[in-house]
Amino acid sequence: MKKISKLSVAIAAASISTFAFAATQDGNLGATSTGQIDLDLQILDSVEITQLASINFGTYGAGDTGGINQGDSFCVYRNGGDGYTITPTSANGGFELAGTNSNADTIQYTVKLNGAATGAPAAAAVAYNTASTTFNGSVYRDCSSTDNASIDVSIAEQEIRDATTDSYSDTLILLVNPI
Amino acid sequence: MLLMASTLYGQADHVQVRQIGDFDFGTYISAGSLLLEQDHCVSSANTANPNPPKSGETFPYQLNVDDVIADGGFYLYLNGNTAETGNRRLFIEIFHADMIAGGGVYHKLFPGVVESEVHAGQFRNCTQNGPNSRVKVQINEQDINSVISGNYSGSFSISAIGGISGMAYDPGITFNVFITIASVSEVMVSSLDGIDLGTYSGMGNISVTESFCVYSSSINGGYSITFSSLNQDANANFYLVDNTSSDAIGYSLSFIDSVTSPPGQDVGTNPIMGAGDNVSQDCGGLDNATLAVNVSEADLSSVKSGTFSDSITLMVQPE
Repeated sequence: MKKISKLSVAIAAASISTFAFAATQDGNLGATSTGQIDLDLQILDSVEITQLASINFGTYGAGDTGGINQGDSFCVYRNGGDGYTITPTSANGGFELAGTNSNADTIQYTVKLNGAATGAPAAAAVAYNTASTTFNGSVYRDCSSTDNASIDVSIAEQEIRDATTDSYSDTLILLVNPI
Repeated sequence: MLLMASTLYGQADHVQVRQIGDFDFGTYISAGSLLLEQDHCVSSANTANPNPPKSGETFPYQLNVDDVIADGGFYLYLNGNTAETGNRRLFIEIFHADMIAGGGVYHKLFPGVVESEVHAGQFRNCTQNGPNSRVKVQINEQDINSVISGNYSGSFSISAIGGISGMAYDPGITFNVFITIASVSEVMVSSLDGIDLGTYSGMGNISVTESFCVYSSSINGGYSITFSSLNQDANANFYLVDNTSSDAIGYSLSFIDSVTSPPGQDVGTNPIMGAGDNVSQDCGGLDNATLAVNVSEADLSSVKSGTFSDSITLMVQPE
């Protein structure tokens, strides 16, 4: 069995609040009294990736032919609905599934990302540890229960046929960066 | 006639305080301190004859103004009730000036204390030089602001010592002081600080409180307070706005006239009633009202990154 897991990452840029409150002032004594309070708030870049699920390629045996691909849709929150990129890396240090029974064989795979719940298989492949094209996130942390991004992982037939019989796996790490 | 007058008055160790009218300040409705002056005659001579003989000679005198009760100062009392204390008792000041020898320069009087300054007495009724004594009653704004509204009055006496011996005594006269502090009380909001909602990076609601002081001279410190803001829309909704992107974040306000309970009353367009400090304009250094600014996660998440601000205006009126 071949399996890919994914890890969610939230990023927030650090900043320091330095407000002056120049207009805040007390009221004067009188028949009426009017005072003023300044409000200040700094919104930092924020992103969050959720609704990730494991990808299971199932089994590939003698009766199977051709390459295989599986995908997942998920949710990316971005404050203001602004842009973000995803930089994929993996626990195995490259886009490759590793055998689990002291088997040195690996199976290379390809990753494609899209800024919609569907369409990743038709997207351009993303190189390892390289930022994807820019997508726009949802202003809702739960994406209003509707996924807004997707990933496709594909394996060429020959990669599978080159591998010794075994179970192969990797953990895919998706780093979301606000743009 | 001259002979008869001489027989009537003769040689005397004379001192006399002529009547002075009441000091009626009327109704106080605006800011500022108040004062009223009255001139009268204090005679001190070796004769009680208002048309002194050739041997007639005037002598110095000293005044003593006293309150009707010994409570450490000159006070007017709410509805004339001398049992009143605190913010139902109005402090006043009384001054005296010698209009003949003293050049009209005032010095302050203290209740039950003979003034230390010595003044030039006149013959009876001051017929030669006119009134020689001026009394000023002064009520300071801060003292007016420290009492509740209502009718205040007090009675005072002026006695004098003088004559040939300097110890001749006239128990003198009494006068009253009146003032009505209008029911249009005064208010003041103070100890206001800017509210820093901090930095937000995408999780949870924001609620920040600011406590401040509300003074109202109304009975029980009653006041109403309304809130508006720079970025408020036509429907009275509040917004933090990023002046660069014009993005806006809606927020709500809640208020309570306390610092021990969380603000519970939502701020809308209608005034909110409260009870403030009716004794101390600075609330004795302690806050007595709290405003909360509440921003929801949904509103915070919907805007682009940036710096957002607003300016809330609080208007307090006495009730």
